[in-house]
Amino acid sequence: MIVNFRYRSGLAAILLVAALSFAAGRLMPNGSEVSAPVRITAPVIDDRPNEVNVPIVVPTHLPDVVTMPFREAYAILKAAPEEKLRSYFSELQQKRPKPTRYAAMTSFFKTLIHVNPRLTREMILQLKKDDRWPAMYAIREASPPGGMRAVAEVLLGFDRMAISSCSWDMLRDTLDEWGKNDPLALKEFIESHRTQDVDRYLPTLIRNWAAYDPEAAQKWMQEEMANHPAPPPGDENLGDGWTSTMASMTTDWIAGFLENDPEAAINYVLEHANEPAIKDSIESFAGDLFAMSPDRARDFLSRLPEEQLTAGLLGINRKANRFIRSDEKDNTASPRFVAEWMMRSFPDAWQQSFDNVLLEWKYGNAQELFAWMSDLPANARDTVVRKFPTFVFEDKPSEDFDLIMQVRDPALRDALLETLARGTTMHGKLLVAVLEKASLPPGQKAHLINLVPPEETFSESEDTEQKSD
Amino acid sequence: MPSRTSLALAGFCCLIAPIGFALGRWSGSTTTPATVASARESPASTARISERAGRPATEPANYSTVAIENLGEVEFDQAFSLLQSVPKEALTVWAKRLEALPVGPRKTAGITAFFKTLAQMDTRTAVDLALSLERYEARWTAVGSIGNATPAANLGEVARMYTALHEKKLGLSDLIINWSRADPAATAEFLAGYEGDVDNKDIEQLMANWAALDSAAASRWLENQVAGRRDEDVYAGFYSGWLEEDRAAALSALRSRASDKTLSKALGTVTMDLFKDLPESAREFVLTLPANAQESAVHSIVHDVTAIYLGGVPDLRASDVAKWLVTLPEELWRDTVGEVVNRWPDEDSVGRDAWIDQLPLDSHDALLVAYCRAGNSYIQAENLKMGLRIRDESLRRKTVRDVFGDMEEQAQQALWRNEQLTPAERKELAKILQ
Repeated sequence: MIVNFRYRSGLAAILLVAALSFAAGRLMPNGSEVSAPVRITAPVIDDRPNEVNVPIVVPTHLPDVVTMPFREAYAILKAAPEEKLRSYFSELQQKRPKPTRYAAMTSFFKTLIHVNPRLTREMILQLKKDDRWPAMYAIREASPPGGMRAVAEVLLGFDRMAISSCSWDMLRDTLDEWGKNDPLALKEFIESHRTQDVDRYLPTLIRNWAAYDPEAAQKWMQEEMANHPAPPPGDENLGDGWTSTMASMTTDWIAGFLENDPEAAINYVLEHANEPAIKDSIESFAGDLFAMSPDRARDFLSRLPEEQLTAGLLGINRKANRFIRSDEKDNTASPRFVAEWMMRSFPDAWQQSFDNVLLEWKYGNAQELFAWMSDLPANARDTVVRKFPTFVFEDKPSEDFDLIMQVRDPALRDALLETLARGTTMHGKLLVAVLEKASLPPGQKAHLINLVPPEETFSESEDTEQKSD
Repeated sequence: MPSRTSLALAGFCCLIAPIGFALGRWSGSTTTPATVASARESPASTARISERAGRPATEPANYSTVAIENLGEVEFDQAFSLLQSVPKEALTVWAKRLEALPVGPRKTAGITAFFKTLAQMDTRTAVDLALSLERYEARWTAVGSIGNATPAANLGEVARMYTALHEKKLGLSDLIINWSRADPAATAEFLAGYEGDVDNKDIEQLMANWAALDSAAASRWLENQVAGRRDEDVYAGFYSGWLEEDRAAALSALRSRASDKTLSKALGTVTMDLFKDLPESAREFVLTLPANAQESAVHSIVHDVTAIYLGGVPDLRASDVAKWLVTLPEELWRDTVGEVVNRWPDEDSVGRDAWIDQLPLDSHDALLVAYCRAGNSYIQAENLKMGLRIRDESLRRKTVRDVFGDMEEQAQQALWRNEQLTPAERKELAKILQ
């Protein structure tokens, strides 16, 4: 009995030790799970293996969300009750100096928008004006599609002109990103914010929706157009009213349709090419189609009437991008590719729609452009020389002159100098001063100076316009 | 004395303990993290992320069920867990697959969601993958997404990405602003080795942040820059930041160099910063400046509310600026206050008039003269009404005659017809213009 008891006790002790050591081994964190000490100034590059099931301790005070890895900040904000998040928010607002506060706000809101978009929105709208900017930028940049509604509502909380201008619109970019993920959610958002001047974003919605479901997008668009009150007289001249929105919607619907079903979209545009709304869309449609497939674009353009062909080539010419080098693997939008494609594909029509290609090429790689021009056949070269874009800037009047003087081919250089002189509609006097100082033969100088048009005063320009009207 | 059995038991326990510990540790490391498992098993993620077809033949089968292009459609938790749970090989395969998608919103949305999510959890890998993309649009969409989403702690990786792109003209503003708030020295080090163009406006932001955190280090850095770097924008940033760190020292230094033309923008910026914080401090600062610098200092505040904005709106309110201006000597506001009061919101015209009426006589009349003279072709009747409120009769007659006497006949007739004018005002105008 005693032996039996001892045996049982021993077995129990062994089992207990085994269990305890097993549990200790299982629960002990790996070395890589232990937080690295936070460095104050050096940026932390987070190379640790991904472990997320570490028990989360929600700190009493706002942790250093700027230096901690995202996953830690995310885990803490996700685990923190709303009251704690509100107390972190109060701490944030007290931080000094400004860069420290803004850095913390940026990191905090970039994380919180993933955790609780509603609370993010509520907090940002409480911030004073200067502090609202970094917070607004933070969520706009980092938000996942699920947080876009909150971002859009925060942006709508600003005076539109405070965050946008005539040429760019901060809310449009956000809605575009949202619409690319979920056009139906965007549609609902727009429908539920009608009073907040959101009609201007309908083309953004239509573009993205049509790429997923062109028929539904078109039906909704047509209903919108039919139900919308007639625009006031003169609206078509403003460029910012309902007339412009309707035109953009049609163009954007076709652009989306093209992305959904290129063949069907091409046929649609060809069938309706003479309708005013479609006619106006051909320029951008051709450009988009070219980016998708230059061969398809060639085939499409060759089936268009002459007027629309010019518009289509204009759209393709606009696709030239100075930042894309000719030797890149994906060089379809490099100015050289676009220029050569246009000349090769439409030898009788490219001349009318070539300005942007040359402009982009000039600022992207002027030396390559000059070498290419030198090798062109005489007729084409004359056209390109005539179209070569030149400017005389008030602060750098010799910029284009100096550039042209780098051309190695003397005949081409002289011809381009003539283009520069003839085309100087502004700051002609500055160019004359540049030419006078230039190391050119006196006869050439005099000839070029003669070509510079007399400068028109503002009222003379107006008179000319009125006369031509 | 312990018995032999006890010793044997103790020995056996010593043997079993490390074995149990090792077994426990091994079992822990092989357990699938709960969040990853839930992501994989989640109905939403499997329904949405697995709906894809057309896997390239070279792609390992394990990742083929994941429709990575739909990443943006699932909850962030699931997207995050998914990207965390797979090896780099899978991420590479997915990045290439996203790049090969046909042009359209699904592609852009997929690339954006993938790189935004990845940049937050593993910036280095996100950067490597973005740089490996060959198609232009895809690469720049990825680069933009990483630039937007990367946490402050990892912005050095964004700097690495920008350097590797070898583009001369990249927009560095966001990187410089965000990075220099957290680590200005690292930002400056990056800029020193960066081969592309760096605008002085960006250096202004660096200086504003650095000087607020460590003005001595910022100042040392600035001293070592080429002359072209030390322009008025950069100094404006420096002094604005220094003001945050040590107000008295910054103001004293600026005051002592107030005649230096390179610092005229700094004077304006600092006065503006002070004004936003405490208008009385701005006033004191202006009054301690040499006479020729006072105007520069005041101009920035006036300009904020009187400029024509193609984008953005004034930072300040015209009513606040007007009230502040008249606390300064009259020569500092006589020529400008009219434009400022002209921008006072129409909906508060009662408040505006009440404020004007309580001013001392000299200020009252000087302000109304300025208002009346301030060009405003849209509401000339308003200018006239204000002119007629000048209390000093000879000043009133002179001002109204100067402003409205030489008007073109057509404009004068339009003014007469304006319904805002009362019969008494018309009568007085006629009397003055006789």
